[in-house]
Amino acid sequence: MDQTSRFKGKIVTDQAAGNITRSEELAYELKIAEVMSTQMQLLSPDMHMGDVLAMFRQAHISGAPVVENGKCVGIISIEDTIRCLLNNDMQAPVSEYMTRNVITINSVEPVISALKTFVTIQVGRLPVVNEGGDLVGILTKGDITRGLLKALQHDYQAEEVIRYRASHLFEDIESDRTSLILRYNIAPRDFTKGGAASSNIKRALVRLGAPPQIARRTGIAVYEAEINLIIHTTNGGVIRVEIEPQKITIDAYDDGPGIADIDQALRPGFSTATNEVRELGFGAGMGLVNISRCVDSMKLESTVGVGTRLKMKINLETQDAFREGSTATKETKA
Amino acid sequence: MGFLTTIRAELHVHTCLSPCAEVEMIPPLIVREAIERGIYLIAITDHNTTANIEGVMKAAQGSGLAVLPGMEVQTREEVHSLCLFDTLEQARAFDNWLRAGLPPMKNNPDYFGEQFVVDSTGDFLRREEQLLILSAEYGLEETFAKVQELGGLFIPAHVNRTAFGLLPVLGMVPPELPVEALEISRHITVEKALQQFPHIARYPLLQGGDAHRLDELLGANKFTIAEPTLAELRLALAGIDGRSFRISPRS
Amino acid sequence: MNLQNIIDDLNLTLLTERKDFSAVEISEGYTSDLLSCVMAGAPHGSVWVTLQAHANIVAVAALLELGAIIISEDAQPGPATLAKANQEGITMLSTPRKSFEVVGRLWEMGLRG
Repeated sequence: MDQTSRFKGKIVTDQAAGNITRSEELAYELKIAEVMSTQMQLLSPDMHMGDVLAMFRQAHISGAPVVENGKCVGIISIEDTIRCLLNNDMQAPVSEYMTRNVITINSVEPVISALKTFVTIQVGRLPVVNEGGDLVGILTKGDITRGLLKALQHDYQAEEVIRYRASHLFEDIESDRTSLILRYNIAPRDFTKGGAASSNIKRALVRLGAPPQIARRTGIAVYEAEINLIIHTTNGGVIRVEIEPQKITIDAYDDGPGIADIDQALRPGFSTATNEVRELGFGAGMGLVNISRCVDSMKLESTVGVGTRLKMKINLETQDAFREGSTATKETKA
Repeated sequence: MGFLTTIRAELHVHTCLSPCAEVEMIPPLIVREAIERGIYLIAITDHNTTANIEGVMKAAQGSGLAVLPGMEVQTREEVHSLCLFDTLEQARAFDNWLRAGLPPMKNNPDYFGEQFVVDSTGDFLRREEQLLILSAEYGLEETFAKVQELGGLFIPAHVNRTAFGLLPVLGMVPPELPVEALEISRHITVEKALQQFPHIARYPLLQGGDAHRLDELLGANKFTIAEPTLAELRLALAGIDGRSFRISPRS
Repeated sequence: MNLQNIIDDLNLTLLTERKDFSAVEISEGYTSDLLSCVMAGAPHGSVWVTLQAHANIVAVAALLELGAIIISEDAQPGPATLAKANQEGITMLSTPRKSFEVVGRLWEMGLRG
């Protein structure tokens, strides 16, 4: 067993840094709707706790959401049933023992938000809701790992079909400076589109023949920058990516409100996100930290009232990538 | 046996069945990544199990990648060793023997990680319930003897590492144990390993990636052999008949 | 304190050949299952408490000229290991107790490490 390796599905912080794994990358691409379980045992607020315990035993589960008119109004875990047992109170209704103010997660968000939420709040399961706030599924860490496995497999098959490499694209063009510029406008507070720019950029890079590791790092850096623009900006912002043979430059900028204390903003875990945003699974204060693992250099400039600019650079040539799949050499010894 | 070929090998590869490995370690991705890195010989060595080897062997069919069935066994002393075989049957026979000596304890995926048995496409077949990262009740010597009896090759793994490495745990290579090679971890150079443990100079040293994720497929060993069999690897380790090996990290 | 006092007090089982243990003076102890640590840290003439029963413990004890090895939790060294211990003159003792308890009792008896 490798001491430095991380448990499957767990989010990494920068001490384990270095490279981005394929599984981590997928956590940014997969939507919660794709991995959650939709088959779930539902409880109603007036059900007896005794019946809940019987149901848990029969279905081998350790928790279930409480639903009223399609909305998740609470959650009962095995701990709640134990509390009830100790009180000798099995006739009590679910509503007396359930945890209210349940933290839910939106089905359109990427799996990474759920992983961040699991790290921040110690719960075993998260109820999943749709745009309208209706309960549509339930998510455990196990669901995520299973989902990643499934996606890795499907992804591989799909990739094999469309995979082509144009790694000589730049080499064939003669000019003093060749570069490709991609530009994306990011609207404020539109979490449903979160991750769109980053997955488009990543796809473009793969098509250009960028090595997977570079595409991953770029994808994650752009995703975090994108989420920052969605959460914090007044009028949204722009992400501009310039791809050159030697480097990728990512520029994320906006026109306000600006950051008062940049050093503080760069500290792991520091966040100015509102509770509302946090409940959506964003704003854990790890965005800039995640970016710094992925890029070779970054620079954050901001003026309150004017705007913020985050410049990031990923070098292409220092990486051992654009691999020449060196083949076995034949030697003609007897 | 005519031509000798020099191939890059990675003899220490985990799959998503090892609880500590990433879920991306599924057969098709392992095969593709190895080939992309110019590695044409791998050994699949999950902790105390062989259940995912067949999937990798199938996934590698027709790809040019040779797959040796193996296992990273954890013996009573808390030492890890690679056990390599030529055939799946040998590996399975070893698995059966070892399984009887594993303490019956259920895996808790939240603490240790998931243990997935998958097919050649990486599709989920089942969860392994038995916790795999425990010491078997067998000692190093009897495990070595069992591997020999089945025709396998026994290589103590990451011998320099404090956790589960032969040298820190047992202080030295047991003098009575006729091991044919030792594996050093990817975090150390041969020079440093020899400096730290001078007495291992008499053993052939291999370097293992101990790959728990795709980008840890190191392929640091280059073998000049006629075919990917244990007999040939043994000749290479001994430097006989023009066969040879060397550690040559990818630049 | 001599080795016989320790054997009597902790009710240890003798695995190797009998000697005049009352003549073996012991004043220090050490515990670890990592042999590389033992080699670096066990005091000469001390009693070593370990769960590790592999043959290499004999080599380490002989190298450091330790007074005795106490193997905890009834871990069983093989016959070859015992033969080697006899050959090297190393005394091996065993107990069903856990290392933690063995060390605690030795400390109470006045042994220091």
